[in-house]
Amino acid sequence: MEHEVREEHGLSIAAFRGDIDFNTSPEARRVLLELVENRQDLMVDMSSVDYIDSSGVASLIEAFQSAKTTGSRFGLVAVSPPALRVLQLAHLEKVLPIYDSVAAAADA
Amino acid sequence: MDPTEHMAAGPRDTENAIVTEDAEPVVIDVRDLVTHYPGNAEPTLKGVNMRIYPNEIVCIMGGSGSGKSTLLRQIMALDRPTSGQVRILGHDLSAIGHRDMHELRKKIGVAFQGGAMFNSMTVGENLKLPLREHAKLAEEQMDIMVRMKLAFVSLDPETALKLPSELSGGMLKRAAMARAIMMDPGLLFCDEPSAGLDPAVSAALDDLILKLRDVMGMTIVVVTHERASAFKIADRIVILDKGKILMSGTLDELRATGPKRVQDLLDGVPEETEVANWI
Repeated sequence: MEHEVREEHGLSIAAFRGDIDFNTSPEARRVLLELVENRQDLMVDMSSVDYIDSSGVASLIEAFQSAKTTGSRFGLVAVSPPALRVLQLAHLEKVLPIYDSVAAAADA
Repeated sequence: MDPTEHMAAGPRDTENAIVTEDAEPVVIDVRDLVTHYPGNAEPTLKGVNMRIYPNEIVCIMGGSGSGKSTLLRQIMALDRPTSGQVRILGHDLSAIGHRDMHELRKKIGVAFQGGAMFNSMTVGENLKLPLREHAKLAEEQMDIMVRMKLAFVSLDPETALKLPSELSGGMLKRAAMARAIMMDPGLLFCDEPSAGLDPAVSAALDDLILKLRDVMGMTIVVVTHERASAFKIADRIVILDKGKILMSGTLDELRATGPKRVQDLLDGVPEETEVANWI
């Protein structure tokens, strides 16, 4: 898994590439929680996530819950089809804000 | 090198399952399996041959004493065969070392019929056991995963705080399923997953098994005598009778070409000897 953090449309974008799984989710969790704890409005770009497992999903949920506590925005953008199917398995698409693009997230 | 290393380490294991001489990827390869327990006049398994392919749901069915539970124990590496071979994800179970077995177990989930939970721990702690053994996750991550997997099997999050002894049989069975899928295993074994559950919960569990195959790419082996459940979820049904595989195929194939004994088993019609045993 690789990641980069950038600013776009006034939002912090954490873009992940590859697999977010048992081996890599601790690092994804660290990145997300660090950004959320800095009270930055955060969107996770998941367009290049090939696969996400339960531990990766748990990292997203934890960051989402943490963002709610700090009062910052948290959402997912451009979720890849395989990742979306895993989120749907847990019915998380009904709870986590999901946007087609960063621009759409910024406009929301 | 771990022979399964190139096969990945998660639910997608089966994409890269072992390729046999006939160029078909195989997850489980059982050859000439004989199990003869000491003291028994006859072997329980009498030369079973079976292959299970990636992303399949295979239901093993058969009457009482057919050997289906023994077969499951053999392919879960809980018992050693008298003769024959079981290979899982390329590993010959009769020759596997402790380290490779530990790695292999990461990729396998087992939902035992009776739950097999530690009564001294809460359900949540029981569910975390495979995570503690095989992964390095934060406590908060594991707590969320426990709640997620309990939701998968239609159990309240508060169930995590209870002791196994506080659960009903059906709840315990579902908790066992939740624990079996904690590591998102590539290969899942379920022993009578829906027996004794009310129809709505049983149907939800069937749907979950189908989704685990479709979304997570799991290969799933289910031992069951619940015919409606097997007919709904199975890509292939293996009919075991008196220690031998009577027939294997899709439900349509079994219905179309199966002999009378297969039709009887599919219809739940007992054998004459079974009736004679109680009259």
